Amino acid sequence: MRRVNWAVAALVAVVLSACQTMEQVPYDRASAGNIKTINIVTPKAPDRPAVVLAATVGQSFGLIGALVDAGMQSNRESDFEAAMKTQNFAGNDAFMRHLDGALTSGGYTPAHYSVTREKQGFLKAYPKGADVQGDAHLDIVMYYGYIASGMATPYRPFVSVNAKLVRASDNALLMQKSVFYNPLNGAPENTVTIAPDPAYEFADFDALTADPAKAAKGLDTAIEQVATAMGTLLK
Amino acid sequence: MSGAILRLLPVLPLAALLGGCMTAREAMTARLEVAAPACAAAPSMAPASAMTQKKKDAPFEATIRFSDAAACVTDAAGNKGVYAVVDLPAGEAGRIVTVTSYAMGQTIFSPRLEFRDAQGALVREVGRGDFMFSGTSLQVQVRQREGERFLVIASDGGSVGKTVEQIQATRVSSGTMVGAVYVPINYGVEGKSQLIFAHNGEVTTTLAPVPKAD
Repeated sequence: MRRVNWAVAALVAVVLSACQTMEQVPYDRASAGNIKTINIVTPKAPDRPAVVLAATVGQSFGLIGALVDAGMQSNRESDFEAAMKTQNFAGNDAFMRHLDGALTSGGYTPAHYSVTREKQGFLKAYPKGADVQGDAHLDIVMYYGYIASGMATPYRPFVSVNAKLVRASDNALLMQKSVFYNPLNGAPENTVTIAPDPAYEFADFDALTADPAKAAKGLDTAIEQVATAMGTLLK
Repeated sequence: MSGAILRLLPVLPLAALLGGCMTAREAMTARLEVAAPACAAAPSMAPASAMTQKKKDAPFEATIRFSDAAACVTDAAGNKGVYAVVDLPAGEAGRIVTVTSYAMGQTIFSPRLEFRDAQGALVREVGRGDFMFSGTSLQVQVRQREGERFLVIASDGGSVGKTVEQIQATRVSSGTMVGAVYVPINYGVEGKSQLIFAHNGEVTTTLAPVPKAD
């Protein structure tokens, strides 16, 4: 059931990304205080990539069609998850690796703090205590995977990240931004969008799973570009 | 209900969805050279465009259309570029300055920024690399700092003439009446846009207070 919830959340995220309403707040390094170490709390992210077919025949047939679609999507995601395992590719790990690199390039020291996240969205409170490193906490909500806008259009990687940076000393909001790689239905206002790399295009789901190395590389490239954009936002 | 209205119904949700997010602008032919044989070494703060509010409590806004008549300046690398100056209204530091360069057909102004103080002295630069896409627009958001009075928007001569291609996927919601039953039909399409960075285009600057966090 949890995986179905993630699939629904991913579909909603990509379909509604054009008009999402999260307020966008840019970072200002000069006035943020002496932020040297950024503590990345465990991102909220699915444990496997979504494989979204945004427009389906099932959508024309009400609840029964929706149930059929959900089952087909779950099957696609299981197959794709297996294909990614053959490449030892995990999207969450890739994101953390690339984000660490982007922060380091920007002159920050990345730190990590493990939290259990039950609910969608940002954390309501941030860790405190002697074991918590960092001058600021970076809270991430991420969706990722492959998406085709319809049955006659190719699958391409997509990544959606909402990021919030709060100062550790007083929980002041330092930044709140969204980055979308390959957003469906246009650009969310004042968010960062990254167009998909045409090198990673798969005519259909069979083509996607037939070349898992290229599929993993495409997803990794997308995640890296989003992490790089995060680094630019934190300059 | 007339047949015409019934035929319109399926596209209304999509139109509503996209209408609030996307505004198509008229096409412009890309200008890849600065016409003036010589440009100033530093921008002049006069005349500066004033920012206005559409209503009380709305963000301050100024839209500048860069054309052949725009003044020009030479950057540190010796590249010529056109520029315009925005007079930032007085207020507390920390407000959000959003600068958006819109695609005009395939042409998009390639911006860089300078913040200057009340005397016109350079306080901060925001380079072309800090601009990222938001759809087909180039955009940057920064917080205004103490003493930043003027915003200089200049074309970045180093990037003018370069091109970028973007792929955009769209899910289209349509439908049809089958007897008395409305049947939704959804399908996907893809479009490609080729943009060329130029010395001309249209740039909007807004100045707004920091919103409440989510």
